[in-house]
Amino acid sequence: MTYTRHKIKRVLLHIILLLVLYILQTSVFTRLRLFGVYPMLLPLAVVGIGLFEEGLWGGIWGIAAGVLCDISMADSFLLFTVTLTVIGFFTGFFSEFIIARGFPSFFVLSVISLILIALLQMFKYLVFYKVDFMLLSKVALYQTLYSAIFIIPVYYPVRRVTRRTRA
Amino acid sequence: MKDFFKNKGIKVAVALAAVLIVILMSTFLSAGRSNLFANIFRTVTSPFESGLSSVADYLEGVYDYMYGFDKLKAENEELKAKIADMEKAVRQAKISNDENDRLRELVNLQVKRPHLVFEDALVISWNSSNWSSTFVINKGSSSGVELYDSVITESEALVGQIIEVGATTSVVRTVVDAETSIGALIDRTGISGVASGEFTLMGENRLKLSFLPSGSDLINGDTVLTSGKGEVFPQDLVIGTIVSTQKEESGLNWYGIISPAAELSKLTQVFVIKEYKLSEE
Repeated sequence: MTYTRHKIKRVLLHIILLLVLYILQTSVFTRLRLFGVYPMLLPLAVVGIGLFEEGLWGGIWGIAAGVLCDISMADSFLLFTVTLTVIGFFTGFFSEFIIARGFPSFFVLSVISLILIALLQMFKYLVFYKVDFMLLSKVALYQTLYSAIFIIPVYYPVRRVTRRTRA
Repeated sequence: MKDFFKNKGIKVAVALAAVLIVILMSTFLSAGRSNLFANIFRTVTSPFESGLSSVADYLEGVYDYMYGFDKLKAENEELKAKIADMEKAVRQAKISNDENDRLRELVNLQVKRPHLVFEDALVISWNSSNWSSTFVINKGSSSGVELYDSVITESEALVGQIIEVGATTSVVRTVVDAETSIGALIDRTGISGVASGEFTLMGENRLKLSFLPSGSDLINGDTVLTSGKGEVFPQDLVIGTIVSTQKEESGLNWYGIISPAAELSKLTQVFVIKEYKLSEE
């Protein structure tokens, strides 16, 4: 009974966390452009959940966050659903066997994930629309930098939620 | 007791009579003033009466305060409820007013463009992607909105096109999005071209007019309209104004940079064209 309640609590807290970040990403920061770009918060949450949970849970929450991202961006047909699932799963996998569960790992993995996402977003315009690589790189860089500002603000709530539910 | 009256009956009777006479005389002689007994009685009882009166007054005050407080409290509650009702009415009036304005605009638009069937919609969110320009409106298939319907403002400025339809919401791709391509013509000369979004121009809220015949006359300030070719967008919707002209990489032809007529960053209400005739007759 306690175990079931604990599981339900964990799921609810993760849902709340993702929804709060989703609302911030889609409703608040769409009004706060910096260098002409918006930040991405949900990928950071997926990295955090993956880091403090195991690989499977990282993948599951990656799907949820990816679906939310794809809903909020009409141009990213399943891109985020697939990418964030992979990111969540591998982050969880690495944290179980290879890397330490702490801020340095979170920071490095978050930056890698943000760069990976930006590269994938660039791909369509680079290949199908022949847009200048430097121009795309500039947008990708700004997006990654602006999103990276939120690594610390996202890290602590994610750690708190996962620690509370793992206790 | 019987003995007392038997023995001293006459004396008692005389004394009572004397007292009565004194009282009667005192009353008659006082003539409008308090008599002696009344004076004595009142002098003795007045402090008590005064004290009792003070206590009574105090209690009455407390009662009045309590009763008055309850009454004021009830009155305050009632006023608060009235204010809340009035504020609600004001809000409702503002909503109705806004709706009225929107419907008036729709009627005006309908009068100007009788061959178009509109659905008014509100912008509910902009997408958070840095790689496209789309937004979500509050009308979907339940309101008759269909894929690739055109979206305009009340001033007939082209906003974009529906690219995704839900039951109650739809996604609109704006004219500056890199995937937008519109059959266009220059109002002044009637020369046709293609207005298309470009990633490089999207951040500046601009689009490009290209594929113009060689030697085309194109100047800043030219108004660009939809040509109706391609049967995607209705004819004669305002796309925007030429703000600069540049040479293509080949060096043979010119192209124009268009500033959209619709102020995309300030959009709150749009109109979806659900039906239209291909050309006005």
